[in-house]
Amino acid sequence: MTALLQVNGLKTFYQADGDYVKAVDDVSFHVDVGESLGLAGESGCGKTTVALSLMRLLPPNASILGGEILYDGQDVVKMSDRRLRRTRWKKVSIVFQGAMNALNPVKRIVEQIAEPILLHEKIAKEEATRRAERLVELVGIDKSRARDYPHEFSGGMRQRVMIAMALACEPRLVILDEPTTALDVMTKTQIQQLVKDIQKELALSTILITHDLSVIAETCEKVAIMYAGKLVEYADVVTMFENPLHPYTSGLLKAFPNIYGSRELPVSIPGSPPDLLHPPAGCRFAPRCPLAGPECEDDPPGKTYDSRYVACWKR
Amino acid sequence: MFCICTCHLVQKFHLHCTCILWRSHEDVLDKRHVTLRARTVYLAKKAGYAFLTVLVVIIFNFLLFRVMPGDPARLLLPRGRAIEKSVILSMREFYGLDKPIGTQLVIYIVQTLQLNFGYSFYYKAPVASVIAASLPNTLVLVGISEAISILLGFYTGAIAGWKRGKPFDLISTSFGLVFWSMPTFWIGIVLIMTFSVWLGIFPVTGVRTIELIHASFLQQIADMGMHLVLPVITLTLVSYAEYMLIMRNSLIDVMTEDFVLTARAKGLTEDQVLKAHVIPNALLPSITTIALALSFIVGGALQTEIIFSYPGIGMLTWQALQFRDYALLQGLFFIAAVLVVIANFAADIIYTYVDPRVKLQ
Amino acid sequence: MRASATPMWRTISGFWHVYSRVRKGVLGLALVLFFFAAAGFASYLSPFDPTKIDASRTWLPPNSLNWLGTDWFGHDLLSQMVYGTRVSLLVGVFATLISAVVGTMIGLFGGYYGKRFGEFLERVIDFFLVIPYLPLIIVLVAVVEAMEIPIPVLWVVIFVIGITGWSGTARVIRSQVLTVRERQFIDRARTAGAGDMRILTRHILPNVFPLVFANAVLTVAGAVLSEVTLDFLGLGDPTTVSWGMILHLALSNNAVYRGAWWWVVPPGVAIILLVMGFTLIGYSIEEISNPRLRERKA
Repeated sequence: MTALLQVNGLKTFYQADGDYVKAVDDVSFHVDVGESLGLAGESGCGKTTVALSLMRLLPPNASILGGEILYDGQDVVKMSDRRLRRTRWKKVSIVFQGAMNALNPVKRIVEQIAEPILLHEKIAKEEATRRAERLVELVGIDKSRARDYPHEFSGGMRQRVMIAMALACEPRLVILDEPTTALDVMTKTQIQQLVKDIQKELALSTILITHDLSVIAETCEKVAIMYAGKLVEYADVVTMFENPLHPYTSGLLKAFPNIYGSRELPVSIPGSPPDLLHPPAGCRFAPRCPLAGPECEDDPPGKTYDSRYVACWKR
Repeated sequence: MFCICTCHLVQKFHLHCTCILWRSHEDVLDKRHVTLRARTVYLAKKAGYAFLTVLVVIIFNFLLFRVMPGDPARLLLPRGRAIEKSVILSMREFYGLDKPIGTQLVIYIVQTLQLNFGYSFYYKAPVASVIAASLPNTLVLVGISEAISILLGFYTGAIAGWKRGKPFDLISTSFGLVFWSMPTFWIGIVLIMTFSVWLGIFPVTGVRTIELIHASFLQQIADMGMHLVLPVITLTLVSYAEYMLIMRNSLIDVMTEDFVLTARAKGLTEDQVLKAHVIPNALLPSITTIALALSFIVGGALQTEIIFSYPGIGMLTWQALQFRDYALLQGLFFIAAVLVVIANFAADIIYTYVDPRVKLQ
Repeated sequence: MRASATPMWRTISGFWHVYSRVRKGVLGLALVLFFFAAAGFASYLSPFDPTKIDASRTWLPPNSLNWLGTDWFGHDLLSQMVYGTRVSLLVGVFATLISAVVGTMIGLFGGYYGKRFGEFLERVIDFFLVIPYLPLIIVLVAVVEAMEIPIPVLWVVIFVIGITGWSGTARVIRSQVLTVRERQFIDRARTAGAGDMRILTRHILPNVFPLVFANAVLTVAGAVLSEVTLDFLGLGDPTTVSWGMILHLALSNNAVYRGAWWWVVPPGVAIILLVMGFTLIGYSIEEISNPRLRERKA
């Protein structure tokens, strides 16, 4: 069956100093109905840019220079502004980090949740408010707090509000950008559980973007690893963790201390990510890769085995 | 209020929760009462600080006198003239100058708070009545000018910030910068030269034409209007520039916040994002900054009145200065300070109503 | 990596590299340097002695001999304008020195010491912010002049402008210090045993310094305006040649009604350009040190 979301060869660049920062360079992946995908990578690898590109929320100095983003068969990249606005939130919504100002500080949260409902559907204000209140309860907040302001909530609760807000128009795909990064461990677990529950009950597709592989391990079915603007590996979670193919992935996994494992220092990957203004010509990971060889001076082709994908000459 | 819920999803979007609540519905009503009480306490505290400021101004005024050489009583009277002993004596009695300095201070404070500022030798009348006669003129001038400045400044500033970097922004900001760099009195002079002397459109000085005193009410208003045009333009130009820049910066700060991105992601048009999310948040810090700018607007009004010989308290200050009428000067300084304090307090009140984040503790 | 985060430009050349790319900053700098040059080379640039009177050449519009015309006493206005630059710059810079030092110190202490002392200082700052500026200056100068202290009026003006202009700087510095204070490296320094003064001078001050500098430049702009206004109101030194004085004399001699625009317009234009110059520089520095204000190159 066709995937809910199909991204082909996405290229999103930022303009800087008269040149381009190749933040997302030829990235392709897909998300099926009801599937949860984790998009992982270190800071600056382009994962947030991918998220913003999916809804064309890029800042003015960034633009999608190539590729297509097919949602239900329609290309988001080529959509008119009007159609784009109708697609936003109704078909795809996004949850940002619930930091202090992810919510409008001067509006009550029930109004903020009801806002997209009123925008996209022709219903009365009372009905929209009622739906918003039900959403507030859905994410575990008492209904009586619906008329409070964002600053009256803790970080974890604000994240819940953001999730409730994202569900307002009953989208089929929800993107979550670092939803638990700023939270303490206990709240993190609660939110993760909430996302899992909601995703299962509502048959939502989700894309979870994070640098924390443990979150992906707990909540996602599939995982895609990005490095320096490129997609380097894609597989289902269990396979990936048990048998990583790409040297970067294995490096990432080795960098995690294992509480059950032997008492060794975790091994971090030497070096640092390349400058995306002038990325290396060949494989972008080659300078740091223990397996690098002469063929790595060319861009590695992606190989697909079953439903795995890996971009490495050595695999 | 505390709530522990165990919840599970029953159908799509229906959550069945068993909640243990520590308190009941009354809490919501209680919360509103708490807010009202807290706001009153907060404002009372602010009022206290305002009063304290006024008190310090009075003490400052009092000390100024004691710093100057010579007999304070003598200083309040015109120099270089022989004054009768009896006049000097009544002055001394008024200020209690034979009493110890602590008592003098108390007397002075009490008198000032009763709006008894002493006697103006130049106008040969109590300072309070002299000020009272001119104050309405200034209030009209400043009121109209500030209203226009704020509306125009905020509107232009918001658009300039929103369309940042584009031609509108660059032009508005350049204009704003130029006007902000102009001395207020100079704008007045140039306007007079152009419109009154050269083109002869507007009257030059004063607030009304004496001859019209028997004309109809409408004619008098129209006449006053004509007299007000140039002074209002002068005062508006400089304030406008400041408000425009304030709003612009405020807007740019808000524009980069995450919730604006969220608003766009929801599918709102740029216009809707601006009006529903950006501007309400940009207005808040602007209110406080306006309150701060008020202390400079007094100076602008002063200069404008001097240039246009407009009979307000600014013009009065000028004359008091020229003739070294210190009693009048002190009274005017006090009134000016009080006006700014009141305006700031009003801004505080407004702010507690529009910003839900204000900690009312 | 250094424990205390210092600005990215640590050298003058590094700073210049960033600054030179801000268009308005360069324009501002050009304007200011122009006026400094005029002040410095005044004796070479001005065609006449500004105090020279020529009774036969009064009230003349711009002509081949007097490029900016003459005033009621026959003074050559161009010469007066050139020499007037000195007063404006002198007062502007020195008054700002006082304001900046006082304001920064109060801002630092007010922001760093919380609770009693810090809050007290906050009240003081707020108080001074509320007091109407021009009336305060007028009253102060009037009183100081009445005190008949044998100090030249010019320095009285500098002093008064200086001690009334610090509150804006103090407020800004204070809020910045409040933010910096919470950062981790301060805690680290404290656990390492650094005392308050050391933390203030070695860690906090370098961090707020860009803001201090930007603010100081903007204060100069304000000080120049204040000086001009004081002179115009007759509170300055009547013997000095300054732009404010030129305008004061213009008004006293009815230049407006006699249509002597050449007497009135050039001083104003000069003031605008000088104040604008400093303002542009100040804004540019602010923009450079505050990344959010930076314009994104489209």
